[in-house]
Amino acid sequence: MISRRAAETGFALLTAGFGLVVVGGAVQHGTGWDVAGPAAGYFPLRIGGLLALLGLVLAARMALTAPREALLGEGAARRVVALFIPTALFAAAMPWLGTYLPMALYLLWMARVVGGQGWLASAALALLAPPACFLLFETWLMVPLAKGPIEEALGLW
Amino acid sequence: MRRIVLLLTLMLALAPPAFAQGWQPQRPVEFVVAAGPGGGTDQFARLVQSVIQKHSLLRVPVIVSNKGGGAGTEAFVHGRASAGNPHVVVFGTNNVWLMPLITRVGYSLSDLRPVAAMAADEFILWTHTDAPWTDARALIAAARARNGTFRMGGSQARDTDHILTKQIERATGVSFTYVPFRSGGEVAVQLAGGHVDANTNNPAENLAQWRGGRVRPVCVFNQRRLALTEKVHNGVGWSDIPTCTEAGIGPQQFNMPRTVWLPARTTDAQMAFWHGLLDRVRQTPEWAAWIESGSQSAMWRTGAELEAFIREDEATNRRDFAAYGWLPE
Amino acid sequence: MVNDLAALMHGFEVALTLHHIVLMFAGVLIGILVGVLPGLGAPNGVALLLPLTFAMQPVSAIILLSSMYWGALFGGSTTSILFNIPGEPSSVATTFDGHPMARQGRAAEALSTAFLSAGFGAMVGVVVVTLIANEIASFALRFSPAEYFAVYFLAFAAFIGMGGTDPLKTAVSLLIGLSLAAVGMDTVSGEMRLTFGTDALVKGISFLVAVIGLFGIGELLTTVDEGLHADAVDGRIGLRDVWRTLLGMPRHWVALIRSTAIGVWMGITPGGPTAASFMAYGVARRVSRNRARFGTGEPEGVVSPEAADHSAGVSALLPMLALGVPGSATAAVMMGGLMIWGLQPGPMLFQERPDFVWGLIASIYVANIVALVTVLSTIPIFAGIMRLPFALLAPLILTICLTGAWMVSGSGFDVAMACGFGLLGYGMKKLDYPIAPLVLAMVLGDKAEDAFRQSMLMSQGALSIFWANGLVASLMGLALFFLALPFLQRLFSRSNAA
Repeated sequence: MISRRAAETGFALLTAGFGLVVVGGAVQHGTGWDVAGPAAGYFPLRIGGLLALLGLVLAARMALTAPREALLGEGAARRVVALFIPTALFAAAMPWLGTYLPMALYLLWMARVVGGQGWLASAALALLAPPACFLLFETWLMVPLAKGPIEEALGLW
Repeated sequence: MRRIVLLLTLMLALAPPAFAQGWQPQRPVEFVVAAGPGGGTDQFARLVQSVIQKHSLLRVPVIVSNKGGGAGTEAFVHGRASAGNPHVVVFGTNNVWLMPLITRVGYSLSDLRPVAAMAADEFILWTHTDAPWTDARALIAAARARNGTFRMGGSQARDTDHILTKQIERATGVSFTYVPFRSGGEVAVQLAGGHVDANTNNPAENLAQWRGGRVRPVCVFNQRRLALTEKVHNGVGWSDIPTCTEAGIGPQQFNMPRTVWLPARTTDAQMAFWHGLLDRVRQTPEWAAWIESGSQSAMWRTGAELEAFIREDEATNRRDFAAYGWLPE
Repeated sequence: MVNDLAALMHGFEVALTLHHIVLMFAGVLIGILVGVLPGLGAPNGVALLLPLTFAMQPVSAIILLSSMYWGALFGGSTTSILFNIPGEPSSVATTFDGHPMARQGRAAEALSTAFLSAGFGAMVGVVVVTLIANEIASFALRFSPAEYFAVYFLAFAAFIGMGGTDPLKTAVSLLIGLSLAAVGMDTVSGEMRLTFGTDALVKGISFLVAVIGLFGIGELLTTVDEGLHADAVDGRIGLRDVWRTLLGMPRHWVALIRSTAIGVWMGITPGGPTAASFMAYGVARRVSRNRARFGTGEPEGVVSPEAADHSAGVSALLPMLALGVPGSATAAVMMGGLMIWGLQPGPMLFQERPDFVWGLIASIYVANIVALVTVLSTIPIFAGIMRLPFALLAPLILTICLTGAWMVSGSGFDVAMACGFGLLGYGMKKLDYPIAPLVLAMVLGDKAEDAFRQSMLMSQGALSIFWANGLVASLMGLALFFLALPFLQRLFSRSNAA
């Protein structure tokens, strides 16, 4: 189990690392202050540098003082993962498989397996939501959603 | 070569009658605008859309989407990602070939095929009405006396306004402080408020402030005066604006073509379809009215002529940019 | 003045025709729809309706579009409160107390509070607009980049530096936001910053994508973590709750007036609704009698940003017409519409087409009442959504979040990024990092940087430009006062104790 102390320290180190990335990007540009005022990298360099510094200070402080109690409550990790992983898979599939098939599968999985709803409610959700989205967004609001081979084959776009 | 192969494949794939009629869009078409909502490029695309709708020139719906991020490069990157898709049409300006010169943009000119340049936006040197100088010579003399602190407003860095400012500097030997803003509209208000001393806005961008008597035109960057005779403010109209050459400064001719592009790897039949469609659009009264309302010049460059024009313009600008130190190492 | 009143009366005659009332209803309903959906907003509504307006009279067209805009402003608050997903940047601040209220089962109260405050703000905004329509334009012309910077700095100063959280964590959050705002093309130099050769980053990091992740996805992750399944709370939600809230509104009169004043000011100075709502929330959190309860579901935390948001939105519309400068993406599309209808926005519009301008101003009064009545009557429906089982509601919200992230610019990278922001939001919430400074920095960070660097270009690098005239000096002075306030308060209380 992750302790709050470890999580706090780790997160602060991550922000420090992010600050260093920003510094790395900033130094590809001018970082000085000439007659034209600050150059493109002037602010990013200082923002990134300060972020790295504060991240390190926070990490040091958290490593010494943050409580050692468990960060997550009973079963919380399992619930968060059960929600996040399918969502991330849906997001990853969207550009390749289009919006609608992953959406139906996602809703079915979330409602039936994760949510423990009955087959009827789950199937109704999974079958009704995609066409509703299609009608609302694409037909009526004229905003294209992601398309994949299935939409291609059906000639929807 | 690849194009020919694709064309042959298409000929084989399509039934002969379909081919005889030429290619037609089969799905909704996306007009990708290389600018945020509201600017000149956006109006250009939406006008083409409205003309197509009004005259029923297309059987499929047209969706306009704005991709103005990164000074329009977002739209061209989208064009690159849509290679081979004839249902994506990109609307831009000369920034299509200028952007890759100055920064890393994620596409190259060969990722897009030019369909047409449909209009040219004029550039005018403007100043605010509280300014002591009244003509171009006095303005340049004042700028020379200010020794580099004369503020020239423009939209975006290293874009058309900035390029034009550099050309004026080169022609007159005067140096300006160029202050980049996000859009021509912002620059117009900054000039009207007297926060910058001059700008090089397009006619449509400054028209409102001119009518309101806050700014006035100094000279137009064209070999000839503008054709429109309508009076705008205090009996002065478009055709009364002297050319910058007769006023004794600046480049003779400077304008910004409004361009339409297809993604690379589209076929010549598809190109021909869009070319024909735009040709019909530009012959409608709505198009003529739009050109006139923005004091733009009609332009119709296509095919090899357009490609040659782009190559030449790119080469000229590459030379100039190298001299300004704008090319990335 | 008398002439203006006569013109306004004539405007009401234009606005109060049946045809125009019907258009207002249609516009408001479409506005609520696009406002409610994350990733879509008023610009989408305008783009949808614009082709329809080509055949209309200009005044009918602008009534339709502006009604849609008011509807979208109201709709944006709805999702902020119910799902913690701000539909519009300007309704981010509404989530801070509105969503906690909804989670405590006070969704109907939160929604009615938000709508009534917004309606109040809009009404005061339009009255101000009516009274000083002609002066607004010349005032806005006095804003050079230095004044812009001062306004943004003021918004930062009023919001940041609140007690309660670890100041180091607040600073980290702010700095992350500033870094994210810098990604993409830099206006002043034309260089691509912090993209590291990634094409998808060239357009910058969309604020909407970040908000969908940080607030929408992050909130759901936090909810399941805590194991609270937001169970069906209040059995009956009816119009009676709305009525009760309406009767209770006068209690918040101080917050209403203060926030509306901030909103009108930020709308006329080109600070805009987003800066206004953050600033009003920040000020309320410092001076309110209930400040200790802010962030935990305090109605005044809903009243303040909503009143400021709408009064700013309303009073910002006029500078757009008078100057021809769009203050927002929506206004920009509307302005394009004006030109297509054959009107030229700008200082002359008031002289040349008074029928159009005053018809529009009159329609703001009427359309906001129409919008208020419409959204209040939708409260039972929206609050009813909260009673869906969590197992169905959560995946639906996430689906809307992901498709919304796609719709921002049709990019798979954005969808992935929304998930990443979801994790970030969850982590920040878990470890008590405040998210608001990050969001505020993303909205205002690059604008403030641009304004600062433009000022430096104009002054040849002399910082004195920030106190060069009375306007910019007083803005900067006020900002510095807000920054110093916590220290002053501490000093004061210490000397009292001693």
